[in-house]
Amino acid sequence: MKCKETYHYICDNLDADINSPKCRAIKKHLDSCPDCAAYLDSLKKTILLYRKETGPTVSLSTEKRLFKIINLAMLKSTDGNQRDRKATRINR
Amino acid sequence: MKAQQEKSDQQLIHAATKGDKAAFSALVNRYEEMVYKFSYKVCRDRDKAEEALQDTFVNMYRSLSSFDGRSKLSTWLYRIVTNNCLMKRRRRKLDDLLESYDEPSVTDQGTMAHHVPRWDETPVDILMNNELGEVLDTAIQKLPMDYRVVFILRDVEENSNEETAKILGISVEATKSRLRRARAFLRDELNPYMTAESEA
Repeated sequence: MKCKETYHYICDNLDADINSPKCRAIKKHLDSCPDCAAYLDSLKKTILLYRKETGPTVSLSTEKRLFKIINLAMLKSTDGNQRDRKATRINR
Repeated sequence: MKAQQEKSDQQLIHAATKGDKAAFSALVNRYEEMVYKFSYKVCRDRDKAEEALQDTFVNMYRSLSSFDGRSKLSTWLYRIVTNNCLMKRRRRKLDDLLESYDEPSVTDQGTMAHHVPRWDETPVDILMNNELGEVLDTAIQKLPMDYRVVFILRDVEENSNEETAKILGISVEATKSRLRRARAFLRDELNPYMTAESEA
């Protein structure tokens, strides 16, 4: 197995079943190729770092604004439905 | 309120489509954190994430009756947020550049053309400082939106390739291809920061 094949495989299958025959061949290559092993490790760490990013949570003010917008959409929809029903009655 | 919390998504959706506003509010409470966090990870901006949060739930309210229940509600919400973000995207020349991440730089013998330095052995928890936060932010913002959403849906939110493909309406093969390029691109962007000390 060559580095090129290993590169493709590890990029596509970071979480693949490590007991498959293909994985065993990859593992054998990784054990003897420090560059590919370092590359695989750095790919895994890249994903872990982004997974660990927490980011902001919904604040009370954000939630308040959200429900204000939703209530407006609900009101608009209710008004629209009432207008539609009224129009239907008039058309009858 | 407690009674609403104990209901399944399907029960709440059914009630909400019949005009039960409390049921819809319960759905919003259940998914607002997920939608906001995902929007922030994609948009990388608090104001835009809040805008996406509002757009998503208004959109959900308007089209709830068309939700057929064949997929999970979270899948449907991911799709609404993603479409929202993709509509606002700006195409970049980097789209073409990313194709170079399909092949590693190898010698005629098929071995790596360049030495790959080892990343610092420090555990990931310790690396999560403010400086690194900025590095992660800068790197992912360089990634075109088509690739960014695949990386976030698949690797960060931990959806399967099939689920990610379904959310985006693309093939599993296209998902894998974008994921491969996105992973390699981000890895290369972080590489100078992660190896600076050990190389010095």
